[in-house]
Amino acid sequence: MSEPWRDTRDPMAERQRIIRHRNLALALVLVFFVVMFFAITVVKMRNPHLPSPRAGTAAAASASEGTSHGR
Amino acid sequence: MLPAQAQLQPADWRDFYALTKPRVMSLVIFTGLCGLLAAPQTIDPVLGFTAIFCIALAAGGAAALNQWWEADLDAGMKRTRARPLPAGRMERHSARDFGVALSVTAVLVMALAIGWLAAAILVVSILYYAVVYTIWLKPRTPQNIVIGGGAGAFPPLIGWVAATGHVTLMPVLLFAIIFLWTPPHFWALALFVQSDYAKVGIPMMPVVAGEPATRRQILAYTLVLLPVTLAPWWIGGAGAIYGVAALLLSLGFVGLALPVGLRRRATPEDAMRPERRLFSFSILYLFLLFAALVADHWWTLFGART
Repeated sequence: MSEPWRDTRDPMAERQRIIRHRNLALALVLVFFVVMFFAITVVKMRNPHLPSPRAGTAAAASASEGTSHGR
Repeated sequence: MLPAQAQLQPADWRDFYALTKPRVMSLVIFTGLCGLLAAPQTIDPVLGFTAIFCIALAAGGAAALNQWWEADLDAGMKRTRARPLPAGRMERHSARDFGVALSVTAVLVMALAIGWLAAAILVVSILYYAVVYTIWLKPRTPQNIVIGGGAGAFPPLIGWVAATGHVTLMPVLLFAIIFLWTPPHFWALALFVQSDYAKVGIPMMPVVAGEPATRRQILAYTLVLLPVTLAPWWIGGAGAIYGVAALLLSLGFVGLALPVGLRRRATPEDAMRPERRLFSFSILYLFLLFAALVADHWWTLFGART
């Protein structure tokens, strides 16, 4: 009679399965980053008035002055 | 000590995911998103998503670093024993490297896509949680939660700064709300899991100062929180929808904190019911408060025009 509580899976096969899943997850993360950077680039190119990282707070404030919704 | 079992298998991707404390992250994402949506300036949706993604990534990185540092303590507590490191499913350096990688990526992407101010505050928030709270305060002082609560208070501030590019009084008030909310929230939890903290020598307030003192402080912080939650309304940063919601929610919070704060000890037959109720409500409280802030802002923008 078999012992259902005992893990009978082959350790090497299990190791391969875990590594395969990790590689797949990593690939998905990389694809996500590629898509995200592409989208960010498109947004920045379409909206040249958006503040660049170096522009600082003053530029940010002035650039978005038109869309400000002060109470 | 961690279990000395051999690392037979590499860590699964789910273990890396678990390192990021996804449940805590959901609150971080929510408050960060609310900070971003309640800001007076709009942000492109792609950049808004990127900002929230970076906040989540940084929170995950800081959580991984926290678990890397506290692996031995986690092994001694029932609540945390099944985490990847104490359970022996992952090597310790993997958690550290993962945490550093997430944190660095979050800061770089935030800096390049959003701006250096938001990225700088993100750096401070990561260091605050991973170093100031985890390494320095938590094992040393029963005030660890009070000061360490600042780490969880950064997301709405960062969200706001990502949208506007500058720090004003409103995001500082949002920071203060979460800062003051953390002690009653966490000490209510610590009251019914205090034996676990005592076992691993973490000087949580109920362990060091005793239950009556903790109860008094829960009530005190809840009372101080009330006017602070109303401050955005008083200064004109939020409207009546937020003001009424904040008043009702805070009165409810105080109402639940009173039975916790006014008794000296729990009786064996009530199974810490008031404390559990306060803890559960505190989570709902924060969600609803920030949701009301966004709803109020959107009503001002769109609802009032129709």
